[in-house]
Amino acid sequence: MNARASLVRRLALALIAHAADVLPPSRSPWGEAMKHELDHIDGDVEAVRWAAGCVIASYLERGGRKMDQSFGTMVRKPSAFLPLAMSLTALALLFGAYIFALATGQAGLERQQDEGAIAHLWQLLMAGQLPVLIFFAIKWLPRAPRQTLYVLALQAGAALAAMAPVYFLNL
Amino acid sequence: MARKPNSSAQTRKLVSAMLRQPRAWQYGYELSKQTELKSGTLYPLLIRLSDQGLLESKWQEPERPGKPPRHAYKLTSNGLAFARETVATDTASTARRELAGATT
Repeated sequence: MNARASLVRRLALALIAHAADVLPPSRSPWGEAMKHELDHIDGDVEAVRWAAGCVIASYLERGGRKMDQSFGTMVRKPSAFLPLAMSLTALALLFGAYIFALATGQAGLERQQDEGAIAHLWQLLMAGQLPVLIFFAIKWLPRAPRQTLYVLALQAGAALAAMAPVYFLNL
Repeated sequence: MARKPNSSAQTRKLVSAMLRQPRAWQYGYELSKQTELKSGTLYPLLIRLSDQGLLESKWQEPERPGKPPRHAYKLTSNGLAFARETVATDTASTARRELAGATT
């Protein structure tokens, strides 16, 4: 096999690996079938043609299976519920601080010059969810756009709910 | 109007090809060569027929040493009935067309 041929074969291997990755997990045996079949094709150009067709087949198959991802299964993915949980924890922190302030005879939450532990924790929770949120969007938007947008809207709502007291109480 | 399932020319071509060797396990690449269907058309058809219970598949050890196992396909009894019906319909419509051509 000359260098040019091996480059073409490598391209075919890369394409077939992508085809297998694109398929939904429930279809993984078909991805394996495509991969294994490639090893039985002698011509490198023919192998690329075969692999390119498999990529199309996988995308077609994935397109047809998009609706299999319900909102319920999407929201249970760690990268979906983690930002939600972080926003709700941030909101709970503010609520807890408010209750504590009332219990200790203060009028409520007030802005402090020296931000305390609660403020730092709130900032960490809100900033820390950003990379998770971006990861979730990048991973799931192409696979299940509608359900991902619903979850993103829910995450945005939770983040806004956590930010609202800070904004309205000028904390 | 919704199209009848499995009525595409490609599906008919595939099941007709498989009907030529109804008992043999056949591989994707060979089926692609026989039917002249590209892998991008062939695999969605195989997946759909398999989902409908018209096709069975299994992994077979390779004939050539050093190669990975291959996914092989065969029509099920329902698949065979469907393929026979498809071929009969195709033959009948071809005969009708030829008859219409001869009488005009």
